[in-house]
Amino acid sequence: MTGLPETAVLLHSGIREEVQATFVRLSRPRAEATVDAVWWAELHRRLGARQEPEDDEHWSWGTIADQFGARGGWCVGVQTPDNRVQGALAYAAVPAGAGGEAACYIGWIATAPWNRTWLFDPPEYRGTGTKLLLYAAAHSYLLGLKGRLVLNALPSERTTAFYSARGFAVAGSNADGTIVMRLSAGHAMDWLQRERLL
Amino acid sequence: MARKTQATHLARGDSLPPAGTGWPPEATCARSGSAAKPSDDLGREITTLKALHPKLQLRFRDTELEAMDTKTKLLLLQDIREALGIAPLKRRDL
Repeated sequence: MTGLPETAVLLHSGIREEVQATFVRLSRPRAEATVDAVWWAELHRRLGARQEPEDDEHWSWGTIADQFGARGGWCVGVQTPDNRVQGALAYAAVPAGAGGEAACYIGWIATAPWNRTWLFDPPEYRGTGTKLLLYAAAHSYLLGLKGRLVLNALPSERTTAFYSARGFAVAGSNADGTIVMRLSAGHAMDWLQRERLL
Repeated sequence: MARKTQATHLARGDSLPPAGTGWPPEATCARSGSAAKPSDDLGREITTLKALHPKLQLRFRDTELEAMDTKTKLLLLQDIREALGIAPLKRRDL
């Protein structure tokens, strides 16, 4: 009803077929049931004990959904027909100010562990993270922010490579060591046009 | 060689690394001055647009927005987007 994207096509690596997934609003109960209670238990079941936990293994998407929902932000998942959430995103609109131009600020974003190339070769689904970012850019556009996005991330080669490949640029660093990555209006509008959304 | 190139590409860029540091302190709704946050998607969209674009001079109170029916909210949202030059997305499947 708000005109936001409703579905996304993901590539299932195993059957080499495209699967239509749906964007769903994540409330606390839904996030707890479909993300917190599933992602890490399934990873442990598939891979057993691991020496290095994932950076986000301690995140509580139930708490994130509660916080962003209550304060006027959004928490969204992308769900395949088998009702499994393949990735999740929480974001809010930030006005122009000391931090730069108005943009949608991505508070948290992650894909399900089985969709990560460094854990599974091949990952179960490809394209989940990109579709979540595209969803956020589309919403930023619909809020009159020209698709601009901003997020803070740990400075790693993997992070900068992924976001740079999608048009983000490093815009600075924070006192806690994280880096600020921005998707400019120019890059966002180009991306939305390439995807034939505009 | 092609396989190696692809593998390197995948390791570096094909899978989203988790990222984030939480709720932004300067977020729009935290600054809008309204204690009441709309419980529905349309109301939330309108409230956010109103906070992001104060020059629009929208003349309604949050309590009035809550009282609007869905059809009225949808028309209001369309009007706001039109005033801001925001065209609807051409497709909603990504």
